[in-house]
Amino acid sequence: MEATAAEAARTRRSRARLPTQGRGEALLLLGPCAVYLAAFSIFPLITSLVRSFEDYNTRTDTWRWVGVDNYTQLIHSPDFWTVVENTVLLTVVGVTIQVVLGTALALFFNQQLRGSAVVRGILILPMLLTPIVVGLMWRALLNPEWGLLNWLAVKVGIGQVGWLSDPNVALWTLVLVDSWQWTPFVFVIVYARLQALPQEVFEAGSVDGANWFQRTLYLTLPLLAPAIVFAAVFRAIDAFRTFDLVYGLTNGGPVEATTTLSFQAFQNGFEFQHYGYASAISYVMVIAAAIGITLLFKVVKVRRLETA
Amino acid sequence: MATVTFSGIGKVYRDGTRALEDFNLEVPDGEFMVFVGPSGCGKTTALRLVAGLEDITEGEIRIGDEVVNGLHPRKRDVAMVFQNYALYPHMNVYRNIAFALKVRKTPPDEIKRRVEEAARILGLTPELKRKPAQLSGGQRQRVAMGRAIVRDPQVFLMDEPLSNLDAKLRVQMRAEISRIQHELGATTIYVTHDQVEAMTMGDRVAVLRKGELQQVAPPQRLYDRPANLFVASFIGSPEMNLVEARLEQEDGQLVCRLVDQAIEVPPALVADRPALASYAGRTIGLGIRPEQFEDASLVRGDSPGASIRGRVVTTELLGSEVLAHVEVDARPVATQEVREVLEDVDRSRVVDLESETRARRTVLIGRFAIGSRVRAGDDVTMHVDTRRLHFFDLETEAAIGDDADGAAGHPVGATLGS
Amino acid sequence: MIKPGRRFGRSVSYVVLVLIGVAGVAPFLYLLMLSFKSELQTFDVPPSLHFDWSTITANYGQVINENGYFTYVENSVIVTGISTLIALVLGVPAAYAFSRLRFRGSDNLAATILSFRFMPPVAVAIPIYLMIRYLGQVNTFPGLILPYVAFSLPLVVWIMIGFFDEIPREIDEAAMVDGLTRPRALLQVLLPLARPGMLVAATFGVIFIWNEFMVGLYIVNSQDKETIPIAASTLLTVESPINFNVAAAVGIFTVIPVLLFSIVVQRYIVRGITAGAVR
Repeated sequence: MEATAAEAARTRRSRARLPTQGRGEALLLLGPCAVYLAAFSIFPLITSLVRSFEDYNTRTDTWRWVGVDNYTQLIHSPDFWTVVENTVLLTVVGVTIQVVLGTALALFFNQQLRGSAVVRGILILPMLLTPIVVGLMWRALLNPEWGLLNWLAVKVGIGQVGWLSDPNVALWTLVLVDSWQWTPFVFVIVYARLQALPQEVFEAGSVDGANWFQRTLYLTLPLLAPAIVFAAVFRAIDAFRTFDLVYGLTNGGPVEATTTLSFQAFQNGFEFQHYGYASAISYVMVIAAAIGITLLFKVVKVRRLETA
Repeated sequence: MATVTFSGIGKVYRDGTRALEDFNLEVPDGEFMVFVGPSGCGKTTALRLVAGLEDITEGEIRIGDEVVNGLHPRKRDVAMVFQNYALYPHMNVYRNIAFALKVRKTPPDEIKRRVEEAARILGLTPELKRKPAQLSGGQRQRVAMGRAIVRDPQVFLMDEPLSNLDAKLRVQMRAEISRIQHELGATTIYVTHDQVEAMTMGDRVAVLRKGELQQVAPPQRLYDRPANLFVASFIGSPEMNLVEARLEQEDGQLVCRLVDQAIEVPPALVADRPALASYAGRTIGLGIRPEQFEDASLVRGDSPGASIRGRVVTTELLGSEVLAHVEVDARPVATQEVREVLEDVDRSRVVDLESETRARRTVLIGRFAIGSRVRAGDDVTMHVDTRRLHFFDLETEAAIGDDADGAAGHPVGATLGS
Repeated sequence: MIKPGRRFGRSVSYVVLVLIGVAGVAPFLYLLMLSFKSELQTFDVPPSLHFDWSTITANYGQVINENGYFTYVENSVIVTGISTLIALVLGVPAAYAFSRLRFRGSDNLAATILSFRFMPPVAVAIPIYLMIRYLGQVNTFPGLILPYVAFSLPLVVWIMIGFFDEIPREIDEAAMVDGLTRPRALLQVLLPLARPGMLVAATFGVIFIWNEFMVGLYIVNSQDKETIPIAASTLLTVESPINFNVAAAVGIFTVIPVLLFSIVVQRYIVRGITAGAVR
């Protein structure tokens, strides 16, 4: 039976090789989309690259070619490396936390407690909120004078914490808020996959003698791995680009403790109007993102996002 | 190895459906017991109760001497082969089979030895490194078996393991499973809806219907002495022919009267079934298996038996024999149980049954020798071998048998030795 | 799965469940509560549950009247609606083509389009701004819509490819045998079938565009054209001294539309996120 199924698939695919008539159709269907993206995504991207080799004069509104000067400036700027460090930490630590928590949540919700559907619905909310407002919410919660969290911290005995004011703590606060917002993303993906796993496999595991811990370690987690990895890479690419949350929570401060690459590029562009320099920073990001994307597409095939 | 005992087992699901009712059965150590019945009869439920995959609502199950109610599956030392195999998709064959041993912290060289041995028995040695997705259906089935036998458990449980295979493979695997089971001498409970499978594989077969045990007995006895109309119709292919007949006393002989024809009941049969005499004057169900019929023109004149006339509706030439569908003046038995069996096969059969009942003409199926020349439309006289007739009480649907009081019907033979 | 039957384990689980729910919703509730209070009351810690209707109206009133929030809502709705619509019009046929027509390089082309989903917006913010300026569309709706469509196209295509893949090819073939060309088959036969997919894609497009503000900051420079997030970003900056209560009201105002929207489309959100990971 498997032989015939494979055969059928092969015939389908070869049938799909089109005569020239198909070309016209493909053009009609794909054309507008491709053209649009070429104009508003590819073209700007190329422009950005070009601009990164130039310098912008605000007064005269002209561009001057400076070669790799922007980049050399970047590499020699300690600020840049601080920002890179921030971004990497946010991405690596943040995503790790989100993946671990998200998976744990998925396993927890697998118990199907009553009312869990409601809580799951609540969990989706953080992802939808405008990051600026998320920043506002947490600024309120973390307010040193009247914020609820500091009040709790004092009660519990930790004492006042400079969540957003202490340069050593601020980045971790950002990680915390980012995780609050995006752990549900990992959770939804892993949970869906968990629900789709065949129950019989776990029954077989039970009959074979495995306890909950062994079943989870040897069966559940390996079977969830593709979804977990997918979610992790997805999140990593997004976390790397974090801008909105920084803008809303800390505005990059205190003293660049929470500035991410995106934010720094934005600042240089929007505030300082060093468009060339900003483009250089952005392009470093683009290259990093390109690497990440290649990774993702190795892990996940574009067409059939299926697992074993 | 151990005995499995069901005592007063009942199972009700959370939505109120009752799957099993007062189920009592003892499967002795080493026996190959088959649970058979139409879909929804409770056979898989009973199996899963033994495994511990469902909770017991009433009664208790014992494996060996231990009551296992509420015991987690992993503590019961049973092995199960699932209908869809339930192989671990991310593990290769070796690790699939080894899993149960690994989980019990068996030393690696011991694992290796036992896995390779199991693979050898099942002919899986070349596939050990491959993953389930790369295997054929038959190979996957054998891996599922391998997983079970490597553990040397007290009980083997099999849930329709062959139903996903094509016909030829199924026949082959049936033999293999029987062989392995005999080699290992393991107590086995095997669930199937295919009565041919049940008959060929089981030491004893338990027929279930709607959560109740109908009869449990070795296959031949099930065939020769069905306890009720359900078992009679369910076991045997083609099905047993069932017609209504009026039992009358004529010249000291019991005779079955079908409208305008009569079949004499040999005294030997009556002696064997003392209760039969008390049914004189009443309408009973008469059962005749297809092989009891023969084209009268092929039968030597001095053979014992009776004759029935009818008209051939159609014939099926099987090469080795002829299945003749002969329409006869008689009412078919159309009780609830018979209806259920037909329904399980095909809804349209029930419709046929209704029209037959109304018309008072029944199509009987007879197995004629290949020399028979009958064709559709012919009038034919069939010879009936009356040494093996079956009689059923139309109200209780039970076989009229050994009990002097007319047989309660079920469950017959709950314990060994019926 | 067999329940261990341990009551204690169950109760602990329920407690954890409640805690999770609280953690998810607490910041929002806190903000909501803040928006109901006056400046003085803010300093009460822990916050009392006593609410004054006049304070509430004062706070929200300020948001609506002084800050003209309804204008922003209007702008957001227009920009988001039109952008999503255009993205669908461009993206659905493209996704259909990728799903059904395979030609040399189609997989690569699809991968390229999808990879734009991951591009950092900063990288293109400036060039896009310059382009819009060149086209004379600074501070107009088209100025916002044009880039927003580009941002959401990859997502729409990604989601729709998945949904189209699930519809058996036989339906296309039946339509074509009946005399329709592929594009018409798409229009008349497949679109109705793909509607759930389009709703998922639309949902995500809407959420993404609604919350976007970085590119918007470049393009929009007058209050009357601001969308909600852009307006919020100027009102809520970390630096400027802030009346937290009014700010809270602004915040609530910003997210209420999204929340209402998501309650309606909740299952589409889940389907969309998992469309990539689960099949």
